[in-house]
Amino acid sequence: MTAQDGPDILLIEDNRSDADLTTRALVKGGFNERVLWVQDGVEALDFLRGTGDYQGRDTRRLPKLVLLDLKMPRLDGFDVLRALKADERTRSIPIVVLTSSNQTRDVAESYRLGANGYVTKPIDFAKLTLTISQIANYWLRINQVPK
Amino acid sequence: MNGAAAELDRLTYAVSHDLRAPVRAVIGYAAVFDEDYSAQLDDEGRRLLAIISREAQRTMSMIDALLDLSRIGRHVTADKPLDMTSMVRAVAIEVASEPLVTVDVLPASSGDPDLIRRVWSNLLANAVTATKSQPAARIRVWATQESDRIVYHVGDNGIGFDMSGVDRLFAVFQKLHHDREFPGLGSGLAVVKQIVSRHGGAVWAEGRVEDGATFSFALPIGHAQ
Repeated sequence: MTAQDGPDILLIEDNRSDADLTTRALVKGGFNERVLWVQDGVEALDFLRGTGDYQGRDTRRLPKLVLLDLKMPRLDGFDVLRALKADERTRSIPIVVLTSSNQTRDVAESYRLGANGYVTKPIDFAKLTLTISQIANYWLRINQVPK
Repeated sequence: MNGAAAELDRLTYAVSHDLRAPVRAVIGYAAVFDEDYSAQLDDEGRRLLAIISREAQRTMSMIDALLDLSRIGRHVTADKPLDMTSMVRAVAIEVASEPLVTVDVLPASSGDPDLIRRVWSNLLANAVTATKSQPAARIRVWATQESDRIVYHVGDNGIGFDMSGVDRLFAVFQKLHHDREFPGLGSGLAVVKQIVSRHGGAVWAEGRVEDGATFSFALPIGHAQ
């Protein structure tokens, strides 16, 4: 099974370098789970719903964790949160907002829309590795979601 | 803020925000490169990599300082009573490791507590830095009352400055001293000026080389913005 079939982590991030560094941080932290990177909210929803470029994909297996950027073209992070939390099938997927914004209103809006966590991306790579590892450890190894 | 200034501020914010992503990438990849490849580099290679990393981090700090200034410019200031004596004494304890700050009883004022606290914090931190090599360092805070405003002063007997550069003192990233004497980006006094301006006040400074400095700011009585 490839990450395309059923990733453990769905990384929704429009910036290629940020996505690459986040993936590297996961590997460095010892998380070899399957990660799928999608570049915006439209691609994320297509993937989860099996529509668009992902037409016909087996959508039964859901990611155990979504890492979500906020500021993205086409469909931003808030739109993704709104869509995933409104859908019975995807409501219980843990969504951690991972963003460069530390603005109070972005934190408040994310939680209002049902985010399970909000983390500002550390600039220092060692701190990023530690932070991503702690997030992944909690949501993939410790937390339980409805079967 | 008038239309042109507001537009400039929006531009500053947008540019600063968008610049963070590529600079963050440089910092991140420099760290990855260091971890994965530094063993294959010679000393000169490692030195150059350290410079790339350090300068990228300095750039990020400058971008964050610009964003900070921009946020202060857009911040809706509260207008609350301010017990300046208590505020300054609390800040002095945080900023100075030993009791070298003398705080007179200061007239109360009104304004945004978080922002005015930053004014005191920046002015006192500067005074502490300016006096760090002074064997008998002295910092004093006092105030004078005028008919329509209260003027607060922070005086020190530190390294002072040349008055010919006074116009640059409150400009962002402008420094009158070398990093070894006065480390930092040179944004603290720009923040002070921005905050005091938001309160309808004024800031100025007087100093002499190697003979101390006094930084003053005036807040209008009955400030309301």
